[in-house]
Amino acid sequence: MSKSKRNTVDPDDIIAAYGADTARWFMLSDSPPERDVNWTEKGVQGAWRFTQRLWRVIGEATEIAKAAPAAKPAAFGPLALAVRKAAHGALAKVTDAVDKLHFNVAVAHIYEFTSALQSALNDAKATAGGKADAAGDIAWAVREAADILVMLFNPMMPHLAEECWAALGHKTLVAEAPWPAVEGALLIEDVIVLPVQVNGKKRADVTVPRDAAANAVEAAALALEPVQRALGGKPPKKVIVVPQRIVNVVA
Amino acid sequence: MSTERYNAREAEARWQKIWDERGIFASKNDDPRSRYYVLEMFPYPSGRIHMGHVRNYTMGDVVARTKRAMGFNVLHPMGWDAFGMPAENAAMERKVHPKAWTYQNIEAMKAQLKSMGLSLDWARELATCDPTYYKHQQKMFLDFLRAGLVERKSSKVNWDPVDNTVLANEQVIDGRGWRSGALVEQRELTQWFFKITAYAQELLDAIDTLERWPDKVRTMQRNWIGRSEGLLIRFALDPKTVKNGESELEIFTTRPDTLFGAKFMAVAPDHPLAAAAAKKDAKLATFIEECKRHGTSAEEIETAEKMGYDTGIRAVHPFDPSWTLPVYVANFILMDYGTGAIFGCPAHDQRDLDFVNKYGLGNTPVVCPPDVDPASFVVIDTAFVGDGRMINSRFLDGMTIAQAKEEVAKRLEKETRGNIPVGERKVNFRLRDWGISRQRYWGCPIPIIHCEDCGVVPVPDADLPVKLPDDVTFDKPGNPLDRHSTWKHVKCPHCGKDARRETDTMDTFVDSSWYFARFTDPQLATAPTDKKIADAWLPVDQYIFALLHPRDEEDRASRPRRAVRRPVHARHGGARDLPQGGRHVRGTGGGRDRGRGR
Repeated sequence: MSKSKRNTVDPDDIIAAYGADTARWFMLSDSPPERDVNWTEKGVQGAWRFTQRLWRVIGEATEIAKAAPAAKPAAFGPLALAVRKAAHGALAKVTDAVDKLHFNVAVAHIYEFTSALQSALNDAKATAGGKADAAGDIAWAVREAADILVMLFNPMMPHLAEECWAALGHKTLVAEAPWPAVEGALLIEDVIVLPVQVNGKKRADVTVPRDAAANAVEAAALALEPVQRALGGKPPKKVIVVPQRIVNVVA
Repeated sequence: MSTERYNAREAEARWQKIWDERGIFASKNDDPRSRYYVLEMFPYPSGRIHMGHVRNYTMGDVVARTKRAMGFNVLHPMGWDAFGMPAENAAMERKVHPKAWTYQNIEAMKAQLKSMGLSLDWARELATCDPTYYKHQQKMFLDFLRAGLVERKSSKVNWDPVDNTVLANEQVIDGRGWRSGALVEQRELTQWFFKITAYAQELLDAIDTLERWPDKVRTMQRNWIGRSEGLLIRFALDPKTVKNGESELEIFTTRPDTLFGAKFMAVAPDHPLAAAAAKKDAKLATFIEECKRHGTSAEEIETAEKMGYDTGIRAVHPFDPSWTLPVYVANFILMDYGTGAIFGCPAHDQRDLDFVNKYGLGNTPVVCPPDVDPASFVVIDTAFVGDGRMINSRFLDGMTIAQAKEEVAKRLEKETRGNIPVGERKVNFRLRDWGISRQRYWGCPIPIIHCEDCGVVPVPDADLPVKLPDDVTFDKPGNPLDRHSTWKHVKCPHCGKDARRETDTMDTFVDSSWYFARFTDPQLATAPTDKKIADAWLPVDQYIFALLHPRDEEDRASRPRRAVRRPVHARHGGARDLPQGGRHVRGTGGGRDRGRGR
């Protein structure tokens, strides 16, 4: 019969205290479908705090998005581009995770994307001198990212999503909105990370543009502090850059 | 606005109302877009949802909402697996009518589900206890009957003599009824069966087509169907040892290769040979009675101590007329598997080995593992079940197991006794026909009338549904339908004479075997489904269910489903929800609440 008597947790209590979205989010975030959920008060509170955080992030994004031009800007600056990459990267990953029923993975990507958007909003405000009137390309990218974020968490937390969607100025329901299309070009990573070895021992990683010339890679690798330390201030005898693979320094 | 807190309680109710008013989660059968059917296992209306439900329905809802956004015409329905014993228990314990109890619970749980904000098409809601649902189930029963897929036969059941009811295996605890505490009897009862064994091979083959099912579940389903190829062998009985003129004993074996390792024969306690011998042997009769007190579930058979009784009858080895084997009645042989009789080869079967070690019958290994010297190979308390070469087996020596099986089959097929071959190749299935009769009130009535002159007469289609009467009492044990003053008294549809209705109702698993199809057109009055509409929606694209009770899962697995494309299974919230001992859940199927009768 009713199992609620044996359970310490009653869904009604959770929904009354925190809301259905918090209960839903927690149930998805804890573990993959084939495993048990470990119910903890701390976990539920964490889920609840995330709903509030999303609400704040979308609120801030709404302020910045007000300056967005109607038409998509022809070009995007570095900050706008970073926002767009985070958004489309999350879109692709969450879509894939939901398709594979890896709900906890989808949830993790939404957390990550939310943090990325939050720091982009901070950067945008900082560059605009603490005011919300960001440049057009940034405002447009923020609006796009906020829309995508709401779309992504809508299946998990549909009430909060509707509230955020309305706050963003949409007159329709997010429940009826079409799934956003991924811009494939934004998914291509244009930086690569190469390991740097000194005398066969790995000392550091160097992050360089994917199309960086060999001498630029060499310079970046030698500038790294752990590499400098390994060389003991002396110039290297030889530096071998294997494109897209590794940097070998011979001391 | 960014400084304000989000008020979930206020916002959630508001958005639920808006979704509801706009009907945005209703799916239309004539919508031309691609279809996607998301189904969670429908709940039993116990009265409350629990966190396991929240988890399953949330997972389903994420899929449904995502697919809807992706442009699919999504079907995401909800209903109630509403017949079953808890409602009758409530009636007995709390004096509330099962119907009232069930519908109150449905209302309460529906409100809870609505508070979760699930994107369900509530217009398709159904309850299996609704006559508009079970009417079609009764019609299907009659269609099956006409097609020869339903039959009435006698079978062994666990009978609680105090509650006057049949008990499922899991309701027998240490040989006693779970409610009454009475010693359970094994009784023969005439019941209705769905002949699922007619589809054993087809069901087995279909498992291969379930591409996205977890391997674990598929393996379990295969094991449940349990196909095995073997040999029927008719052993002659030594005429000097039989008391009732029996001349032979037919056994089924999957290991005819081990015939030269045979040490004994064993028959089930309810085998005719045992019954006949017991008439002239009071001790044997007592032993058989003792066996009948114990359950017949696979688990109980496995764990119970092996016990046997030597009947004094001896069977003649098919390859050596001078070699005879003692015939035991044994508690670990099941009448409804194979022929209810075996030959025991202890060196290569653990149960047989446990048995001979207890009764001092010895063992002779006949299969030698690779890399082991046949001269030194002995079996003591662990049977060798692996592959190897035949030893101690006369003309089979040196062969592989497969060669030996083939050789034995060939020889025994050619040999005849009374113009019938001594051996016959046979495919055997562990799967048994599904007994669907329950001596319960709160279930779907079986639409049959019993007439003294005409026999078993189907209720005419025009008279369906056979509705449950509302005015029933639960103050006495047994089936309220059986003691109802008028309900069962009807005229025979054939001859018009006084006749009586079948008072058994169907196992509730019948109800839950077709609900996924009914959801495609749940208001259709003339048929269970509209073929075109059902074909358009089925199979289910995503099915989500939880695992709760392994035994229930086994039962449900006896009817592997073919209309589900891609299942995901989730366990309910926390170890405390698992059956005693935290046993790991295996396989598919029934997330029934525990203690549910069937």
